[in-house]
Amino acid sequence: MRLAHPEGLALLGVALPVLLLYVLRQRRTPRKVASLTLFRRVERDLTAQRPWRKLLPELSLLLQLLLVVLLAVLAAAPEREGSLSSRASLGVVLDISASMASRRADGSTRLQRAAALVADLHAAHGDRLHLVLAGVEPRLVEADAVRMTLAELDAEDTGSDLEAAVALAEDRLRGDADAQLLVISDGETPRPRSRMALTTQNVGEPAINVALSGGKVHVNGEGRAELSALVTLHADAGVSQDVQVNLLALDGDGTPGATLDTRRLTLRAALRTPVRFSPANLAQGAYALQVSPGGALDRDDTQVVLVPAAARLPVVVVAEFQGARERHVLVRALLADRGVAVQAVTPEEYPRVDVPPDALELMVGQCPDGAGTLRPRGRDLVVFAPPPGRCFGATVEPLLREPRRVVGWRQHDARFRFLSLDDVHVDRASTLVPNGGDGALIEDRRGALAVDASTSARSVTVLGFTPEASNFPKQRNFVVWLRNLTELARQHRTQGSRQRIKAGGGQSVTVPSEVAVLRLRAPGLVDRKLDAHRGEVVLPPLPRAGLARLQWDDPSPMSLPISVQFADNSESVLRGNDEGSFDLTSAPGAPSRVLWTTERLRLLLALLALGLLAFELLLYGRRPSWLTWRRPLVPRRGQP
Amino acid sequence: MNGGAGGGLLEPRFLAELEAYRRRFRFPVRSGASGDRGGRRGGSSAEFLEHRVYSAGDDARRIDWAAYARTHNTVIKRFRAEEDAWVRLMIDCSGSMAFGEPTKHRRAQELAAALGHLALAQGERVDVTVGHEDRPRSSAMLRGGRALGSLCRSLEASSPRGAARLGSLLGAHTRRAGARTVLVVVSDFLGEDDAEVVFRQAAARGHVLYLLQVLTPEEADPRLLGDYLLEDAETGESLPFTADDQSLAQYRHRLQALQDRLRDAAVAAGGRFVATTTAEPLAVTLPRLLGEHG
Repeated sequence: MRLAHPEGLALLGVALPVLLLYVLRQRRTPRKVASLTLFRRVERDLTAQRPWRKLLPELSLLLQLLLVVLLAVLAAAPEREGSLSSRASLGVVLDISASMASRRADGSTRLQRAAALVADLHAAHGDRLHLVLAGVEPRLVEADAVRMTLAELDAEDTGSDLEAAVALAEDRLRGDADAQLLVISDGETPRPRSRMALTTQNVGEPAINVALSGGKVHVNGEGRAELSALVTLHADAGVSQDVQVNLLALDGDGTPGATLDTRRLTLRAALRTPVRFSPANLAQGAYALQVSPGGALDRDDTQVVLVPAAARLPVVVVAEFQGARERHVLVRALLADRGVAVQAVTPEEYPRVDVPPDALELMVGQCPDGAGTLRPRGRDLVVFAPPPGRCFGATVEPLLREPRRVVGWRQHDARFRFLSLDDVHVDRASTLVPNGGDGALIEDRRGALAVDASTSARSVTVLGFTPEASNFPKQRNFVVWLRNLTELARQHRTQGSRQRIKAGGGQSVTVPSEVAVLRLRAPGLVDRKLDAHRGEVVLPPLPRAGLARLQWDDPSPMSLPISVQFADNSESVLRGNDEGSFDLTSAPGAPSRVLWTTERLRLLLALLALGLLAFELLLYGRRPSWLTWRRPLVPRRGQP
Repeated sequence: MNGGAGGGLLEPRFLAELEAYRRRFRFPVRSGASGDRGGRRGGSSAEFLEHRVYSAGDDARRIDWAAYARTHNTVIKRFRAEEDAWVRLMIDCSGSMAFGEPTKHRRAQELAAALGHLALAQGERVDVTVGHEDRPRSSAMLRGGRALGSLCRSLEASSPRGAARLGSLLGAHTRRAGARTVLVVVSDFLGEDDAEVVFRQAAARGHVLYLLQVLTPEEADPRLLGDYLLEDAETGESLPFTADDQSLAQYRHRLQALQDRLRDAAVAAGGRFVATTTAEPLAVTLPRLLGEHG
């Protein structure tokens, strides 16, 4: 038996004030007696005047001391050192979260130590060992594949769902009454609950770590890309460390190339320090921000960021122009933003224009939802006054030629930040019926004047009127609105998809709608073929952070880089728990020694403490006569 | 008196039990006055005691002429005298007797009533003295079974208060009493005065002592633990007291020593000492007092 948290025994110190309370003389209880004759003793009277009294073996004191001892033992978390029975089935839940990749002073990782233990257990248990890998999703390893899996085992850049993994192991061991369940983890995740007798083996130890997070690209108003990230030192308070952060170019395979820029930082524990790079003439491509030295965990030392193809956001305006195109109200307002490159084309010219997949498209009088001749190609799309019928799922009613006044808009939507539509009125507009219940963006008394018709692959805004049919372009808010649209498009362009891609999650990315079949190359994953549907492809869970690529050959060979982010920043905090560390040198050939966390013992102790507390309260509140220690002297019959 | 013959002190059922004791128990000392029971001395009853050789001065009417015809010896016939016993019931009515549930005073009244009933039923003379401080009050001399009501009324007329002066009360009685009496003293004997000296004096004068110590269960075995400020119910005096194993052991030792001294005094005076508690039923205490073991 050993204690996982021996510092918990410090609670025993509570016994001292408890004893003090019993030693200090309390206010005397007045009591009337028949006579003082038998009580009168001079020597005792002198003792009675002292401020303290003799410690009496009171039941209440013993109960309270026992309660303190129980609580201290509970806080110290007793564990029993023993050996696993090789004849019983053994479910092993192995934590493969990112923190398991952190290294010890001897260079081995937590996962390697854990895998060595599992291999040893497998030698003893053979087919009776059931291995469950606890990543972001639990995976059961078949008995004949355990050895091979352990040989190729690598931690994922995600957290771990130990609860789900334990549930899977329990399901596998169901019906086996003698089965044992062992969780091997580094203690960075909460202890899972289980219906079975659960034992945990900790393989972690506290370590200092430096982590990069939140890497992103921002294109400023001058079209210049800014790369930024946050650097955090995970260490005890008061610790500081000098690091340098490098900006590296990545080649097509994600291999780091030349260092483009460097920043030196002095980090303080638990404080996030921002780092920013803004080199001139940064070309399109993948870049890595890398911190050095990075500490015990390598996985969180690098952040991959993608710089878009053009520094300036491509914007395509499709409309029937009356007069000079640059005098069109949309073109004129967009040209005020130097960060955009505007193309103004007619619907007839549109199919022949090269539109980048990350472009913002504004179409007036047309609904390019694929049903007609026009097919959208940009990532963000704004449709003005589409013809009656269906448009991206929304229903467009016939044009109504009467003044309409805006009475409400979705103020919290990113498209309507920093503006007001209070004084906007429209001369002629079509009422729109959104596909979903909450799709309305702008409303008057008759219904919606603008709706959100976004799909998983594309952000789509549909307005039932043209800019010219309202007084909106004459207001300053019109420019703000367009700026919001371009800013949103820039964000989508930087991210490459609607959601931020994190390791471990199955997410979708946007590809050209003509692409049907493509290949995925991602770190920690075997190349695989994927199908795209209507410009969207759903990615499998990506186990490792870094640079992934989607490649396709049809209609033309192309590659789309994807930045896969480190999934869980909490994995960078290597508090560890070395109380349960074991000596690998003693393990081979012998029954594996593990520390059994005596959950049942703890539960028993807790119940006992609760019972003692209740008993003490009962004793304090109303002392039953049968609790009296001394038996009353009743004269025996026949006593002379 | 309310209720039956025993008033509120003795239940009718218990009175029936006392009948059995009446036939088996007899107060051991005769007062010398004429009564219903035969004494050791010669007297004028019809019960033959012995023959004695005639000597000058004997009453010639007592010569047994039939014996002279058979033996030619002049003898006179002696007959047994009929005497009674004088039972004095002394009840401690000090303030300390007000403790317990029922109170020690109540239990003392019941014990005295039971003994008084026994004595009256046997034709003995009985009187009751209830004593607190220096003003003892004695009842008239009672005799015969019908006097039980008066006896109970005298007992019930008392209430516990004040301090005990048991020693002075007994001393006054033993000095005044011209005949040997059976002294039944019911008390907790926790008073400050030294009654044991008086007990020895009474024994020297031929009085028989029956000492009944009535305590509460708490007094017999205190269940105190911790610090107390004890107040004497009779004197109002306060005493800080720490109850622990040692102090309570000393208390029990002192109580045992007191009971030993009382027992010695009672035995020396030809009587008996019994300690009881208010929790002990009367039907258990009385046999112990009367020597009915079991």
